[in-house]
Amino acid sequence: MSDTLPELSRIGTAEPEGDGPAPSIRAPVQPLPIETPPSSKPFDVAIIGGGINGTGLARDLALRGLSVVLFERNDFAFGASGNSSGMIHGGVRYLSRNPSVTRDSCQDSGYIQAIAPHLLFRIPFIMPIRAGTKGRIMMELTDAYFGLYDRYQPLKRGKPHTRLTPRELASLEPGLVGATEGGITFDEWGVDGARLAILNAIDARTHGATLHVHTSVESMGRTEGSKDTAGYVLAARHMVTGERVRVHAKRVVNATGAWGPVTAALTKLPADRVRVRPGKGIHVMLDRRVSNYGILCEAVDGRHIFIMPWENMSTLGTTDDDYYGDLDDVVATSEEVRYLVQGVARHMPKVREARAVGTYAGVRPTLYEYGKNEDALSREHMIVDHAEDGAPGVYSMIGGKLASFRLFAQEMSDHLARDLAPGSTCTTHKRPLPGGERVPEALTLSEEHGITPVAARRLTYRHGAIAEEVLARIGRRPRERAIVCACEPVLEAEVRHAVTREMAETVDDVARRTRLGLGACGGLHCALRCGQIVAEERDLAPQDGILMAKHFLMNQARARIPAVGPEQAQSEALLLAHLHAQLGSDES
Amino acid sequence: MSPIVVIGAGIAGTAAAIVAKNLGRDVMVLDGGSGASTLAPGALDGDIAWSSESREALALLGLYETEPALLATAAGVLRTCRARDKSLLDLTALRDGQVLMPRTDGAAWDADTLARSFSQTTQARGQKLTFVATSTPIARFADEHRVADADVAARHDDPERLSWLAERLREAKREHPGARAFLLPSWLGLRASCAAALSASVGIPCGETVTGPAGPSGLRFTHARDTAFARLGIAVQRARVRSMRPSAEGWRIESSAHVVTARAVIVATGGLVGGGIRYAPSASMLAGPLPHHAEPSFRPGFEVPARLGIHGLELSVPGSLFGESPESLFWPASSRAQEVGFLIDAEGRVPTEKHLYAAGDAVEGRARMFLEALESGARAARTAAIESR
Repeated sequence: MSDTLPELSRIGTAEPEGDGPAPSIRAPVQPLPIETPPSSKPFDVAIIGGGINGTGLARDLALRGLSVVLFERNDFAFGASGNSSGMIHGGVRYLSRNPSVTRDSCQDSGYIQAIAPHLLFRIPFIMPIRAGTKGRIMMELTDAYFGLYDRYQPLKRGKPHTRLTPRELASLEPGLVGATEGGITFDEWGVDGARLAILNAIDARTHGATLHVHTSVESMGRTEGSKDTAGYVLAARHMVTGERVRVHAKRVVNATGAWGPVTAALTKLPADRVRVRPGKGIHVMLDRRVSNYGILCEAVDGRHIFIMPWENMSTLGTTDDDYYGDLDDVVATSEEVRYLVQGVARHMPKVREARAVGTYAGVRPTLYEYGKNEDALSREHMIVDHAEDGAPGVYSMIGGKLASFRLFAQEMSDHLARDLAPGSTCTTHKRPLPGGERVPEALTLSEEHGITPVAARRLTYRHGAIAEEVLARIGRRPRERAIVCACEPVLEAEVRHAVTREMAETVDDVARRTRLGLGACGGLHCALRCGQIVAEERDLAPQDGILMAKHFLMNQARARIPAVGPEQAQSEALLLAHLHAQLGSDES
Repeated sequence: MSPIVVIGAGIAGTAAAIVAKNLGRDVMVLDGGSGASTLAPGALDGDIAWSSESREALALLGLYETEPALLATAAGVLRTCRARDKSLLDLTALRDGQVLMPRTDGAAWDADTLARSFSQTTQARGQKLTFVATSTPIARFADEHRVADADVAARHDDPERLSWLAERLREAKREHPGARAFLLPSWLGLRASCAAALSASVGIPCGETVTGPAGPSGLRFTHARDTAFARLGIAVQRARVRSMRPSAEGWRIESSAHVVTARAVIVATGGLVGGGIRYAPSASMLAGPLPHHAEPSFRPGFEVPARLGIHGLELSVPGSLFGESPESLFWPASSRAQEVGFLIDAEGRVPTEKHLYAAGDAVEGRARMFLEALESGARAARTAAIESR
């Protein structure tokens, strides 16, 4: 494994390419303040950031027997990891420039399937080719291109591509309009990115990692001592309770994605060494399956966008714009929504009548390169060693994709393990993630526990073998069989499981883990009840549960409104009337 | 003489019909289906002056108490209201004791969590009330936890079932000498409220919690309304109006079923919830071929020569092919979508037309309240009845 280290990562100094500011303008190296460490034994590694990279790394290190502490400022997968297109890409776009990237992406997609088979579902894609001379040429080129990509498909258990005649295309996807030369099909795997990160976190914790959510690292200092005790002290604070934590760790890894430069600044490292070019991407959720397959469409500016069936809805995506806003508060705008709908409607006009029930937005932590158009930027990942900034043993992980997270984590982990756990090897590609060892039969579960087959199926999707543990709660407390969110559906047992076993602290956290309240009703029936349950499980005052529910409802309304249409507007009015009735008309 | 026609049978239209009839006019109501009133859970809000007509209209329905009350809601909150469905338990006068909440297996009724939540409120503590969940079986059949509240409420229309429930509650009362009231799920009657009968039989007040939309309270409203219409001789037609325009006698109204002529029309078709007002962005989620004509983002649910406006001004055409940005119209960023409606004068007249009036959520103004809709219906009817003789 370590001898096939791909050329992707460049461990060491990171020189920004292109027209970055000249190195002489870089901030001068400042020595970190010396601090007295807390008396407890130091952790081997402290990780800042609970996205897919941070949690993936925590798992890899914990499986090697190292002691790990992780701090996440919001919730797991709050950033790009929880707001991606929801697919494990095979890296097809790198095929001509950098085929080793494609090969490694496909191979790692295969590993992710092996360790979390319950979380992946197949999304066949169609690329329609417009009629005409240019179209005929495109058809041959695309056919050939995907013919080469087929070589890597077995690595991720994908099917080879096919070529469709116009008639075949029309019968497979009747909603498509416009004369075509036919189309090319290719395979992608859909995944719930947030659950992937959370499963990594849970596995890390099972193997001894200490995880802090809703906790922001505020400062870093050095400690002096021998080779075994020298290290860093991180001071952090819980964003809601204000509770403070100080930890001592031998190594520190900044895995905060688009927040990388912010973290660097807080920990007194030069922010321009952790440079990212944040790229905002939005997606629109439609309330049902609108197309049979994923369809690649062309937007007004020539970019490839798509519509695809995803879990029990459809997704339109995505945009890619440089982002200059608040990373803790990224919201899609109605202009971005219209851009996507316009592009998809050109191929599939009925999307204009479809009912949008939500949007989501995230920011990609793309490696920084000034001057290039957003889409052409590399999605490679990179490890930065801050030894030359006066902080040996501190690293930053920059960039990365969902599909190759495990590989990125392995590279970082291999490097750290050289000193801390010499001789250990990475096992994250072999050992299943929690619940991945076996996928139970949904119908059997449905009969055994008296729940609807749909609810059972959604449970096995999200939890795999652990669905049985969730349902065992019903045996102890029959009322947990009740459905809290009907759109998904989500059972009360699953909500309580999310709080007690998956570290959910708010209604937003539960929604991230179970998709509660993200459907057509917008939380009308489930948000207040979920708040009640969370408050009860966490021993909080009932009023706190209501506040959490209101916060969730407002955030979700802000996400839904940019895509609101006539039907959804009625739903929004009903939701407001319901809230006034439940909470009193002077509240809002 | 053609009658006064009221379009819409929600609370505003109902009040308008009753008041116009009591003033001696011939009234017909066109009932286009469910809206906000049918979905209302029975906690009535609105800052109104309570005209004598409003009080009378509400009294005629026989379903509501017009005194302020303190209610318990499914969110675990105690809240005040200006008036209420009689089936809802009023906690105002209760002191020093327990409110008993029988458990059921229903999904939305977690008696233990709710009881804890209510007990911790300021009002409960101030009145020295504790809410206590009890195992009194109030579901008579094993599968009743899967039946919708409204259907269980209908079962309690049967006096035999109601006395079975009363017997269970009396048993519970014997075991809890400090019990001051029973707080129940939304089960107390569909054709009419049976809370009063139950309370009399049990000996202490029994009432419902305020639950979600599509509960029995809205259905009780429709029954009470239809009974009142029948008793007063108000004709009702179930039809969705498509358009109306001026004619020789006054107005010509076309619906899905037939054509009706009227001397005067009161439009009480509701807001966004009932479809009286539609959000119609100029390219319906967007960006298709260029729109044929530019229009405001909201339009009435049927063709009517009355204009929508907000804050006294007619809606203007947006300055963009793509329409206004919805972020500037909807909650939480804005309340405009809640405030858009027909422009009327202080007496309920649509100013530009003769014998055309509007009331309720269909009218522009601040966030929608049941009692304000009631009053505006009464007001419009008074004006229409006098003017259109």
